[in-house]
Amino acid sequence: MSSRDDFRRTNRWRRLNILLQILFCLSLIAAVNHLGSTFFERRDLTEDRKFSLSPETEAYLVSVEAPVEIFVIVPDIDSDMTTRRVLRDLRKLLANMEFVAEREGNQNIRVEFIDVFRERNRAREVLGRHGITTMNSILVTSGTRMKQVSIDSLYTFEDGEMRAFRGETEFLSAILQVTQQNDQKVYFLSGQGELSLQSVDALNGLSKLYSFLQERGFTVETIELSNFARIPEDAGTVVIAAPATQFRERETSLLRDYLSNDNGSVLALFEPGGQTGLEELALEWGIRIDDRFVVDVGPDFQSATGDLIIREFSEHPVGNFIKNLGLTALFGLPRPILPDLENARNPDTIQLDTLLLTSPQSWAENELRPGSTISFDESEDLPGPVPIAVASQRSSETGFDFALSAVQGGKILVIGNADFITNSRLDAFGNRLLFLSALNWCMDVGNNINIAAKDVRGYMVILSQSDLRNLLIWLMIPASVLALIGILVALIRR
Amino acid sequence: MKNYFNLFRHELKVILFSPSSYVAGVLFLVLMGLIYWTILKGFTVSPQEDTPATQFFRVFWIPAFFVVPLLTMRSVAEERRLGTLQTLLTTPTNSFAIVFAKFSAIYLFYLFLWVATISFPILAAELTSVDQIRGIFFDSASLLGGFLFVALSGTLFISLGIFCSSLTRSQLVAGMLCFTGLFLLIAGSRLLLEIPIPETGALGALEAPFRYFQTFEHLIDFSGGILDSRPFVYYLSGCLLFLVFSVILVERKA
Repeated sequence: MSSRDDFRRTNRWRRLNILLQILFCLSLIAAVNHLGSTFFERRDLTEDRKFSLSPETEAYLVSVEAPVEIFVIVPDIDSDMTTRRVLRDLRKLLANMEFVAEREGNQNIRVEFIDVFRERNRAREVLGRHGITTMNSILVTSGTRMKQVSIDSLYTFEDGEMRAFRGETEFLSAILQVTQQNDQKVYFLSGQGELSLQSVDALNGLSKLYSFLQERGFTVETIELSNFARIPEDAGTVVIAAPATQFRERETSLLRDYLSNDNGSVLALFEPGGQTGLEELALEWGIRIDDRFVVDVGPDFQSATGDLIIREFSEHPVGNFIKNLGLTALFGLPRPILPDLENARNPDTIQLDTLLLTSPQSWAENELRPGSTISFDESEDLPGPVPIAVASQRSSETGFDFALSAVQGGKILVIGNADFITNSRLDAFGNRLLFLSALNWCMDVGNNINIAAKDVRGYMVILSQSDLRNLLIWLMIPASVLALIGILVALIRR
Repeated sequence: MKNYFNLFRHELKVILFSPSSYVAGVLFLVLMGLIYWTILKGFTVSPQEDTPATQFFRVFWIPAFFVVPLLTMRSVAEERRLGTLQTLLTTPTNSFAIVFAKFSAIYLFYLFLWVATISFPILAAELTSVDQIRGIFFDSASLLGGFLFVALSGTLFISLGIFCSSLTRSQLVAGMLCFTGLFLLIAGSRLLLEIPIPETGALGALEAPFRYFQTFEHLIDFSGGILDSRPFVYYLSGCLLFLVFSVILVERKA
């Protein structure tokens, strides 16, 4: 064998050796990275754990057993600052939720962002699967159950500006709802001439509300109390929408038992004029259904058509929701609903909140006869602001150290108007959100979740023009120092 | 090991006495000073969602594209062109010590340049008297996260630069190769996500590794104050891979 062949063979071996080295290196690095991406840790260094989920959320997420899919179907438009902000906050939050689910090993949460412009077919397919017609939607689904999350509800507002991101509460609440085993229903009463869910009539129909609630994932049914011995067990809440005739003793008794014994919740909407038959029951819960009607002459509180614009919302989850969004509600003629704790059956255990108020220029008018002049009469009328919605909740807080489980729960919310949810007014102002918020409160949706919203207020620095000029000069100091050192080194070297 | 320290000291001297290092350093500090000033100007116009430090580190790629090639392009290529690499390899030292000494010296200088930028918030805070505003400049989470990201990503970028320099005798070609490599690492990884991949099937599994390589995603996390162990593994192992490849190239081509 010639020496030339020896060199060739050696070269071949060297090449093979290098090739093997490269392959081993690549496989080793790939394996390390695979392990690194499988077993990883994240730490939030921010003081207020701005980018982390609260321990409460983590605990809830770990307990979720059914697979949950979250679809964020919104257009990804770079030029729209609000959309960018919302998408950024959502991406952070949902990535954290996915991460927690992944870390705990159940991997039950899957998030998909769908850009309606680029992935129109995918958006249509997902929306169609759940019978949603609105393109911009955020859906939380588990199996056949679905809950829609409103973008508006993700933030709290102050003077029309976003102040805090409350997405964690909203998504957690939605996840819990779609994964909970018990399927609570919303029962609308019928039989007393209430507004009908099926009716498409503009003034007396609730067909729009029915579609709206179904889109939001609520199971809505109508029941006639006379056919039942008790309110069904699966009732999340019972809605009484403008009964035309009085409730009889048996029906009132069913509602009383439902509220007191079953810790139920009732959302009652009463139009002015006449008795409802539920006055006594409401009074037991500290709510007086007044038989007057509210006249509001405040210029800012009347629409062009003479409807009332409700602007006063008190500190309560229902009112806060609308207030934070900077919205108002449009009502027809309301009746006063007054808090009356003194006449409540167990005043110590009841927590009363006035939710909606009319303007200071309004009053509760006593004179209902046709043709009579409407003017404020100090002796008979109630001066404004007049409460037109009151919530009563039976509280377990007592002077004792232990919780009285036997008297926990039970809540009733009475609104002195019903036409704000009819087909003609539902889409006006914040009407449907007001109803949704009231329904959510009644059904305890998200009320037990107490997670602080993340502050989204921006940072600002106040510097004058001369400060900015000086700052620019100052910021050039490090470069100048380095340049000087460079020149000195060059001179020394020379 | 002793050889390594001797080589490291030598490489550091080369960098400190080289005019190109100062040119790169001055350019870097001027550019970063201007960027910091522009960021602060934005804060005086309207409220910003992120702290100045977070915004500052989010543009790390601008200096990385020119500083890293400038610092690394001559490291091996110049030695090979002058023939000093062959001479060096005849001494009782191994090629890993040579490559690692070059890497650590350049990396140290790169870190020094970034550490020099800590003077920006200090200088800005000097100009403002309100304590609450001064606090914005020294948000510890974003500063620590940002500097950690720069330090981590720097390992991979510098090693890539040295690898590119090992590929050729020409500094210019090495610089261009390094720039292209950095572009592929930083921006190219983002383009991977733009590829329409079906969610299911074998190709669907590619999304996870594509996400893993997202430098911008790592940057957003770190500059916001979130530390994730995955980028540590990615950048450090990537750095090791390029250094090993550089060693192989130095041995093979010397």
